Amino acid sequence: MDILKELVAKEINRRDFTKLCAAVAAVFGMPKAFSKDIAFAAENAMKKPAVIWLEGQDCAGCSESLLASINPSVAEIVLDTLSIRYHETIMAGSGYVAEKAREDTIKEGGYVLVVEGSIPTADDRFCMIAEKPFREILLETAKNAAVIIAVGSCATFSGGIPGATPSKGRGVTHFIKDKPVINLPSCPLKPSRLVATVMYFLASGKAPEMDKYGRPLAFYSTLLHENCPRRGHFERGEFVTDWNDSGQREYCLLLKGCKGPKTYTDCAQVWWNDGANFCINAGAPCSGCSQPEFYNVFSPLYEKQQTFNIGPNTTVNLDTVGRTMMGVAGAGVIVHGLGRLASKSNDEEE
Amino acid sequence: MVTSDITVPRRIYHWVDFVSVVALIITGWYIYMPFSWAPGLMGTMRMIHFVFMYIFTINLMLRIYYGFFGKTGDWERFIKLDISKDTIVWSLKHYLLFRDCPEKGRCGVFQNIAHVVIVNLFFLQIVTGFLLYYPESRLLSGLTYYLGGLTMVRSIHFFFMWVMVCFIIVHHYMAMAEEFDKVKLMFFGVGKEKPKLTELDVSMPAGAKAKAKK
Ligand code: HEM
Ligand code: SF4
Ligand code: SF4
Repeated sequence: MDILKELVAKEINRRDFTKLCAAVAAVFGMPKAFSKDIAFAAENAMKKPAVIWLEGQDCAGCSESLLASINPSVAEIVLDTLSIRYHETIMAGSGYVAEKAREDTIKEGGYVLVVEGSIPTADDRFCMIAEKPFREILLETAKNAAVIIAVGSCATFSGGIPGATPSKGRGVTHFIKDKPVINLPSCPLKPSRLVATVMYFLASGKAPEMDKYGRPLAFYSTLLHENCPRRGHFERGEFVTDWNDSGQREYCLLLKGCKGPKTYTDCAQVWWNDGANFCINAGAPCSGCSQPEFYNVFSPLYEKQQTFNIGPNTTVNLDTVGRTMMGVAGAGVIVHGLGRLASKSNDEEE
Repeated sequence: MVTSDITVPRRIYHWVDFVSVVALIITGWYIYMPFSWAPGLMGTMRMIHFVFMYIFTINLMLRIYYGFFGKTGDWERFIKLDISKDTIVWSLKHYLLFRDCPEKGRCGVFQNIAHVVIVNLFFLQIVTGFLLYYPESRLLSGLTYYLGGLTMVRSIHFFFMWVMVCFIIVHHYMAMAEEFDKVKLMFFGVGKEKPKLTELDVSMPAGAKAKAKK
């Protein structure tokens, strides 16, 4: 196997490599024999399937997250072996040369398209690249892609943080309806998810099994709240209410706005940055970044809320609504009762 | 002996329903916004919520069965509205200006609407409740998606709690003020002369009434 030579150069032995491939097979629930296909996929990747990586309204955090994976990881192998033809943050070329590379790749067809960042819907001018609206670039690049992967919260659903700005950024599925799009939401992209999805696609030639929101079930089928390390404190009714109280350090973060009870993600099982940590374990309430409700419906981040979403950027707080309703009902009953008494005594006088 | 249409099964249903709804509201409220000054309750509160959710669900199913096949056969009450221009005007006058009702038993449009709404709300509360109970079920995920996702399901479940709080306030006030005999019948099975439901029950649709009169 050619790939082994390459790996030796990177000081990974055959055994580590097999383990990595088996791990990728395992997350998608494939039989172990399939990990051989994953190995072939990795080897095929040596033939450098082309990748176009588009960035819309983003912070390049997803790219950073991927590039900063601890080495040498599957991520690095795949990154080094894929032929990334176009990536605004890391490509050496610029201007005409860079755009030419993208156009040539589109002509070749059959590439993997990764989209990071949202697409403005309010006005095309919010995001222009090489004097072209990003929206048009996306549509034109999507046409010949073998697979489209939308990474990060901005490129999925209602556009993450840019979705809450006047540009009204929206995710890829908002624009591309005739082709399957694999959504990998989270803020930023979790590198292991992209790598596993690309490997799976290269090995099987198709998209992994997905839920109703186009998220691979392998990563988004469990509820965070059901698997949370702080769940015991939740059950015992121990909640963080004061950030400065060190006695509460391990407590459940529900009252500090944790969105774990509403968020489908494998964060509790597969920690970030190759198992370093994840939000809740680090003491930050989950902000629900892998959900379509992020960021609008889930804000404010550090407050518990129950809301109805009545418009793209408008929510009503049901607690306020409910209390008002109860107040009106109570007051109505009292007023009515008094009126009744008054009319009764009137009747008697007559 | 004069028999009442508020039969023993109906009374048992109403008691069980009343107790479980109150328990579900108290525990549900706590689940939504647990107070941190009394730690150690969440597990218990959820447990109570789950016990009463089954009692509540089975109770409602039995009541619906009774509505179809029981003695009073009053299932129409769950869905039928006695609304016309007349009844609305009469009811408004009756409730707001305290006028006497021109046609006995037809001034209860609001109680009537409230009953129909509340029965269907109970049903939806059960549906959303079970969606929350099995959040990882593949089978139910389609329905959750259709309702707008788990966040929405939680919000709906929570919102209905408020509607129920309002219902309890208004329904019991109206019942006590307008039909106190019926309240005594419903809760304790005693009434001055055990009147027939058809004469008392302002919210009963005409069809069911005719049937019950026979
Ligand atoms: C009829 C009156 C009921 C009321 C007023 C009520 C109220 C509530 C409220 C306010 C919550 C908290 C929601 C949140 O903030 O997340 C809740 C949670 C829940 N309810 Fe109900 N509920 C009722 C009936 C039911 C029924 C019939 C079921 C089941 C079929 C059910 C199952 C649940 C479940 C599973 C939860 C989630 C518990 C958790 O998140 O730990 N409820 N309920
Ligand atoms: S910290 Fe969040 S996810 Fe964990 S138990 Fe508490 S509410 Fe659930
Ligand atoms: S724990 Fe929540 S906020 Fe943190 S990465 Fe996971 S889904 Fe996002």
